[in-house]
Amino acid sequence: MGVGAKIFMTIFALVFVGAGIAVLVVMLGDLGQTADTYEWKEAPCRILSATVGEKTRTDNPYRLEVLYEYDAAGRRHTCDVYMRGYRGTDDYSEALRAAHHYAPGTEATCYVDPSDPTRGVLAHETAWKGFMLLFPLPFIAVGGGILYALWRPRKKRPDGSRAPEPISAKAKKGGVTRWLLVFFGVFFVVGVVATYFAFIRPWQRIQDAKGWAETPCRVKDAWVGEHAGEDSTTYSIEVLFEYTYHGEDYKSSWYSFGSGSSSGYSGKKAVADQLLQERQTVCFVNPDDPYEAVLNREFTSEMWLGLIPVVFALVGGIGGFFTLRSIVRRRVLALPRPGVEAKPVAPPAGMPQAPSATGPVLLEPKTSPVMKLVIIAIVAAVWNGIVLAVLLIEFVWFILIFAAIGVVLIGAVIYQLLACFNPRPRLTVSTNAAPLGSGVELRWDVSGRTERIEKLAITLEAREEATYQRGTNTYTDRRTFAQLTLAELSDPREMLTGDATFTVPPDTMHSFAARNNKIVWCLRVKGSIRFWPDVSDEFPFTVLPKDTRQ
Amino acid sequence: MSTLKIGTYENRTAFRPGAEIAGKVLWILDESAKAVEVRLFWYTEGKGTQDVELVDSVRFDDPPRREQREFRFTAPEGPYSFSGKLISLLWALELVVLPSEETERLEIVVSPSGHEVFLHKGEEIEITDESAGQPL
Repeated sequence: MGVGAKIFMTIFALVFVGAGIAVLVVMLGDLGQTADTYEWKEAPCRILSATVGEKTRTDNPYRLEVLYEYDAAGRRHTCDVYMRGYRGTDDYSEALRAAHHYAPGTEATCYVDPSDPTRGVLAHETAWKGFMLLFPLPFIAVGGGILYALWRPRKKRPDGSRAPEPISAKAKKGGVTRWLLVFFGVFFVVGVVATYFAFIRPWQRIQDAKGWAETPCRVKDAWVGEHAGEDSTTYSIEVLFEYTYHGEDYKSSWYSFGSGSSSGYSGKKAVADQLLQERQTVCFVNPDDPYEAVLNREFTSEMWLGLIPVVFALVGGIGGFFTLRSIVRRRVLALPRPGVEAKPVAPPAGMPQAPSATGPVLLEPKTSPVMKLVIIAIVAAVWNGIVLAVLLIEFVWFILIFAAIGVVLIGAVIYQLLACFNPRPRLTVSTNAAPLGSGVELRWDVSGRTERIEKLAITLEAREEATYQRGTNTYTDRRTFAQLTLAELSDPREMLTGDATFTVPPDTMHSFAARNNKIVWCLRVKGSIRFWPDVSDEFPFTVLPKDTRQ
Repeated sequence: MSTLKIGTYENRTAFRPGAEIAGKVLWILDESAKAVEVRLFWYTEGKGTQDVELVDSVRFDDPPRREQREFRFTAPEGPYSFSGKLISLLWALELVVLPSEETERLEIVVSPSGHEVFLHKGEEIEITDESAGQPL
């Protein structure tokens, strides 16, 4: 690793560790303030008053304000602390429910500080907050691990130069793969849980709310909530309305079932202004739990944003699948530990498989034209769907750049659709895995309108493929090192069907596939068609090491 | 700093697939170690992110401070040692002291010809020919 890379990785690791420690310290401080109430003594208490304080247009605008009295150390004390660290809530129904639970005159249990009986709380901070401490730990572990790997003391040679590190220590071990599995597993679980709360649950509530009672209500206040993020500010419609259900008065702060916020201010401002202007409107009340009421029970365009965590679930699921597959394959190739005596070893990872079939084998194209069309169509649909969703929320100029890319993607879909109507080559070989220097019989058939093809070429190709990271992007460079023309045809009748025999070059490299570096062999069919997408199909072909038994 | 030596019989550094890779390792440790390992492995160099594959190893647990031991492996059928424009694949033997990871390495070639495979042999000849201005 170069000096620049080492400095970059050190800074990266320090940021990781620093951020993790900072968050942990803040959380520990926060937790320390509230956790000690678990040590306090239980005492019977009587509620004197419980109301919901409203301070709209602020963070956590609703707050349970409670007053209770209890006897401790031979004296009567009054206290107004509901919970240590309690800062209120943005959900009015939650505060109202608590206020009704602690109605004046109710006998309840409170917790009193044995060292200072004037201090009491009515409830503990929920214990799950302790689990939140686990979140910064992976940051500290990852950053600390990188720092250790970079800066651990290494032995020096007598001349002062640094002793070399063993390259073999970089060989992937099962432990690393298992950690990768845990990493992808966490991604998957977080993605699924977040999707549930951000999309599935709101959608379920919308379905449930179809049976809720339409009830007249009065808007007390409505405004646009601002949520400052690291890069931008997002907005949400905030509201407080009151309604009467079965003779009881309630208030709610639910505008819709969508959770979270999004960019786009003016649309939300218009909604809030209209609510303030109308004041009298209708809300929908849950008959089973009248604390729950919502103004808009429809599916809103912002709710599509709740599908974003699906990406995490997909990354976790696909990554986990491939990691699991590599673990299984590695077990199949598990090597014996032979001791001093040499024993035959299993083929190392990266080596090609022996032929999967004997006799003529029909080769499968790497990607069929239909599959290419499906992939491009999905990418275009997702891309343009997101652009359209953002446009529906609010028009912003920079979205035109993304829209232009969307138009190019639609063009690619049309191009690939046309390519689906091209003549289709089919290649049959005497074996799908041939050793270096061996002969192979090839037969081709081209279906469809071959007369449209001006020139058809079939070649055997071999290339290097090197995959590497630059920043956060992954690149793959390819370089062809062998190319053998097997057929070059311009007569459409000869294109229809034909055969050839070829010898795999003997003094070159066999197929090889490691994680980042590959030697790829293939048969390629190229046909040029005027004013139409060309025929271009690649058929993977396996080249084995020389047969040493001969 | 410990003294570590690794060598093959007859100082062979090229092996055909299936051939025996045998030799001796010697270590003089300046502190006690948990184990000493002889490893047969390949690794890549070049543009792609490095791949390393441990193919076989011999482990000597609780080694004495000074010792000489024999090792024997069988060269697998591949991958061959090769050199391309983007990737090179190299084979090596390593003597590693654990846990300090002091190491000594011996590079070898595994291929049927006994030489590493040059992927772009033809292109290289062409370039040399042009630059030299005379036939090879």
